[in-house]
Parts: sequence; structure tokens; C-alpha cells
Amino acid sequence: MTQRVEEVPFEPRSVYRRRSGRISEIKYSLYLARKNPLVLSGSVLAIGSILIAALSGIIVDPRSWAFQYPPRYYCWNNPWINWHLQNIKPCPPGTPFYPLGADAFGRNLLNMIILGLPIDLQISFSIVISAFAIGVALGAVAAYAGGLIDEAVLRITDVFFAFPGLVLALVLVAVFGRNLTILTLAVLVVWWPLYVRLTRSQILAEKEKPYAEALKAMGAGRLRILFLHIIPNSIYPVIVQATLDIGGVILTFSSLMFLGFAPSPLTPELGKLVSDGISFVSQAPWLVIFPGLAIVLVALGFNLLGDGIRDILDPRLRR
Amino acid sequence: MNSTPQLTKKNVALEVRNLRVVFHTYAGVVKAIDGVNLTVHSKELLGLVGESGSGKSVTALAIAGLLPENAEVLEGEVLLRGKDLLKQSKKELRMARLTDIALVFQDPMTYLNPVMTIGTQITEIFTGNLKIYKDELIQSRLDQIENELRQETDPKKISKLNEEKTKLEIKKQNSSGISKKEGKRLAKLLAIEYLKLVKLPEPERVFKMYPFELSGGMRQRAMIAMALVRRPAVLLADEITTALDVTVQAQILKLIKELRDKVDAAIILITHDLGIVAETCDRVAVMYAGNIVEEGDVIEIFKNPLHPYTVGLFGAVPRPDIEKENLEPVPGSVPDLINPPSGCRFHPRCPKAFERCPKSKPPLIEYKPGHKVACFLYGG
Repeated sequence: MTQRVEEVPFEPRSVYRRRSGRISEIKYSLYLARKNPLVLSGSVLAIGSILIAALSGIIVDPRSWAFQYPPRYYCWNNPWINWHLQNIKPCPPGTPFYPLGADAFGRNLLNMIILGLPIDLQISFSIVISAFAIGVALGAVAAYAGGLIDEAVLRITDVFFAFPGLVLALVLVAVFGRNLTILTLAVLVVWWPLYVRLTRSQILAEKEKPYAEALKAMGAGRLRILFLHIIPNSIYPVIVQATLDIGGVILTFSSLMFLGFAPSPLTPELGKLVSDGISFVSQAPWLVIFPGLAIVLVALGFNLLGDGIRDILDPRLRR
Repeated sequence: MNSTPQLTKKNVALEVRNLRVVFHTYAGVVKAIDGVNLTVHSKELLGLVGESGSGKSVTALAIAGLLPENAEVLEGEVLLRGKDLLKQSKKELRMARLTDIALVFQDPMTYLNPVMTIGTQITEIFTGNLKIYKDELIQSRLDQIENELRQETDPKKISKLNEEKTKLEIKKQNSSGISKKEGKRLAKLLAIEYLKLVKLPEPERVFKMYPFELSGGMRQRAMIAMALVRRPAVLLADEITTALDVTVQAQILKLIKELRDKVDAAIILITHDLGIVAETCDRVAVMYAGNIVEEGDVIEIFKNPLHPYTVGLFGAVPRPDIEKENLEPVPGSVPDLINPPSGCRFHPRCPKAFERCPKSKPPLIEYKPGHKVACFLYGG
């Protein structure tokens, strides 16, 4: 990733230097993002998926996932299209009004993917952001304080690491009912310890660096050194991990849905769409391909963006 | 070098009395510092010389209260403004480090936060402690305005400066603090003033730069500015020129020498380079194995070294003016400080050792006015 930064030509530096202030910093960031094809494609994918998710209620009838279509609208049973297949196949991609075909329930697959995006993004954002916050706070304090506090935090994370995620989800769902919030919590419970470990290891390496000692010698307080100096220096790998996890959470959630934890059999969550399509994969591969592709694109977009964010924000790589 | 400061007239900035520090290690207890006495006066440059492992840096760290966890201060006093730093609470010690003691370290490459601009790192000292620094910030800005008014001819600017002056004077009298924004502005002006003081080119630009954008010498200047901006009573410069190349070294040393007159700080220059000491310092203390063996005026010691170790040190320095086939190194090596030699710690290497040396430790006595030595050859 570093070699891309080296390619930044010299003259925009002088452009940047002539102006000053926050606006030019942002402009320079945008310039760096534009120069980097991977970041550019990553941000297009990520921002695109966020936009589609935000506007999904406008693009598609938000109730259409649960809509009981009259039988004649089922491509599935539509002899007009599928007469030769004895009505066992959902209508294929390219059918009028069904650009990506129909899903296993005869619903418009494109619409279902669009409706599934906000569910998935909401879940993965909430899990990653809370895991990030908990992880960075606990990991930083543990690493910096050391001793008993460090031990305590580490043992707690060990306990949570040992939790079998699926069993926990099963128990929670059995107790509280099938509910996306409950499932989100179940995933979060097994997700945050990773961030504690990662942050802790980063900060352990960083706090021994001479500048931390120099700050101490200048009479800076412990909290100031930790939160204003050490964390900004060690946060970049954690940010990259977080963006990688946005895709990872979607995949984990898909496996939960695949196992039947979905709140409703009709929930258009992307993983659920894939798992619904699995049983028809030989006759109707698009049922798996398109939702799967959507998951891949979203995950890829955030991964590329995460990598690029590191390159753009870290001043050591920036200039 | 002809203006040796008159020590009696000056006020003592820092006094170290009988400091003894040990390190608890797996191999045993390392007696790193064994009874160090030091006095530094304000506006004085004291050189602390000695070979590696003689305890120079440990002395500095002990003064700043930054010893590692396995170190223990057995006894001694570090007196700063009449208070013993070693007996103060953690918070008081932190305040002392914030306001009175500044350290500049060896390697400017790693002692600055890499992801923060130089400016932020300097102004943070003030913006993070606005309550303490309120008066100082306002006063320094008033001084700046005073200076600018003297040079300014444009009536518009003069009225503007006067306006600011009256505003600041009102704020100075108010007991309430200043706003964060105002503090930031004043801190920035002060920081730029100090960046100018350490002769960084284009201080306004350097203010916005990250450490990795500066060269080694510029970083060291920035570190010195960062240390001086707090107006410390004592500046501990721990081998500040070691990581720099020779031309930059010369510049930094010249700067340090100039700064001694400009700021009201006592500077302790820790080094193993006798040339640096001769070039810059007013007084010098020679350390050997945790003891100060000789202390005094630079010219006096360089002309007339008394302690056999100091004599040996000078013999080991290459000199262009004297034709010599071989340098004469001090025989032997630094003693193992876990089991240090009895009596005078130098006696196993000393060419002039006699029966009294291994038996008891020679005290540091004043052989001549302004020249102290710890050796039985010269009484004691």
C-alpha cells in the first residue's frame, strides 16, 4: 500500500502548502483519494451501498418483502414464462420487471437485495462501531495501566473469547425471541474481545516509544499521554480491522440466518437470501449469485476504503 | 570563554545532595549512583562528563523523577526552589516537570510524537494547563506587543496592537481563566516566538509541520524550543548532539550557549565528549562509576586536571596540536557496579593508587576555590 503513496507527484504539495487550514487539508485528502484507484473504487462501492441503503425505502416499496403476491404474479408459477419447466423454477434474470430474476419466494430479487442492504449495514455498523469503542477503550486502559487492570481485562476477554457464538445466539434467541437486536447483541458479545486484544498489543508497543517518555518528562498527565498521543499513533491498524470487519459481520450474520435465526422466514437480509437460494442452486443459480455478489461488493468496498483511510489519514504516509 | 560566571552572586537553581540510586536486577543490586553532589546556578552551563555507564543519564533521570521501576533512591535530596523533589507526591512531581524541569533527549528522531504537528505538541503544554499558564501566556503576549509597538510605524497596526493590549490587561486582572480559543491563539504566538528563538527557519511553517518533515537538527531545535517554552528553572540536555552530524552539532551547541544568556535556566549538558564541554560549558563535573570525581571551572580543569581519571581522559583525546604516536587510553574498563571496587572506585585502574585508596572513599573536597576533587592525592 505504501508504494501508491510514493507515486503522489510533487506539485500538489506546493498547491497544498500555499493554502492552509482545514479546508485545504480536506481537499488534499480528497486529492489523495482520487489519485488512488483502489481507494476510489472502494469509496464508490461503500458510499454507493450506503446511499442505496439510505434510499431503499424510496426506491422500493418497503413492505414488498412481506407482500403476499396474488398467484399470477409469481414468476415461479407463471406458465407464460416457465411452461416448459413444469413450473419449478423462479423466473430468471432478464425477465421483464425482474432484472435479477425472482427469489425463492417469487419476489423481485433486485428489490429484495435493495431492502436487505440497510438491514445488513445497520447491523454491521452497530456491531463494528460498538466493538471498536469498547475494544479501544478497554484495550488502551489495560495496556497502559498494566498490572492488575491488564490481567482483569484480559481474563474477561478470554471468557468472552471462549463463548461459542452460535450457541450464545441460540440461547438468546430462545430466551428473548427472534429479533434482529438480540442477534446483533449476540454477535457483538463474541466480537469485541478481538478489538481489545488488537488495541492492547498496538499500545503495548507504542507506549514504550521514546516520545511517550518525553511527554512524561514534560509533565503531561497519564490520560493525556494515552488518549491524545498514544492512541492516535496506534489506532490505524484497528481502523483497518474495523473496516475489514464490516464485511465480516455481514458474512457472520448470513451464517446465522442460514441456520434459521431469521426473525421471519421472509426477512430480506442478504445472507438469508443466499441461504434461501441454496436449495435451488442447481436450477436457479442467480438466487445465490446475486445476493452473494452484493455481500462481496459491500465487504470489498469497505475493505478497500479502510485500507485507503489509513493511507490518507496517517500523516506519516500522507505527506 | 573568558567570562566565567561569579558563582557566589548567582542564585542556586538546583542542588543535588548525596544522591544514591541503586537498580534491582536479576544479577544483583547495581549501585549506579553513589553519593552525587551537584549544584547548578541559574544562567549557568554545567557539563556532566564521563564514560558510558558512569551514571550521567541516571542522575538526570533521578532529578526529573523518571527513573525506571526497578530503580530505588536510597538517600539524597534534589532541591529545587527549596523543595525536595524526591519527597514530593506524584502530582507535585508532575507539576514540577511541567513547569520547572525540562529534559531534552538524545535522539530527536524518536522523542517527538510522529502524528502530531510540532505546533500542536508545543501549544498542548499550555492549552492542556490553561489555569497554570494563564498569566504567563498573557504576560508573554504583552511583552510581544510591547516589542512590536517599538518597531511598528503603521498607525493602523499600532492602534490594533493597543486595542489588544488593553483587552489583555483586563483579562490579566480578571481572576477567571481565559477561553480555550484565546489560550490557543496566545500559545501559538508564544510557540512561534520560541521556534524563532531556536533559529528555526520559517517558524510559522515549521509550526504546521510534522516531525518527520524536519531534519535531525531542526527536530532537535524544536525539542529545545519545546523544553524552553515552559521557562524551566533547569534544563537537562542528555547527549543532545550524539545523534547529529558534526556541523549540526556545532550549530546546536552554539544555540545552547546563546540560549543560556537569553533564558533564565540552568543548563546541565550531559555528554561524553570533552570537546563539547570545552566549547560550551562554564563548569564541568567529571563522573566515574557513579561518583563525581572532579568538579570545577572549565578552564581550570582543562588546564590543570587533578584527578588521575580526568588526566587519563585528557590523555585519551586526540589533539592536533601535540604530535603523539599513540593515544593513551585509561587502562582497564568500567567496573562492575554490582560489586564495585572498595574505597575509591577508580583505584584498580589508577596509575597512582596507594594503600589508602581501596580502604575508604575519598570525599569531594575543595582543592582550590572553584575546583573540587575527590582523591587522596590532594588531601581529604
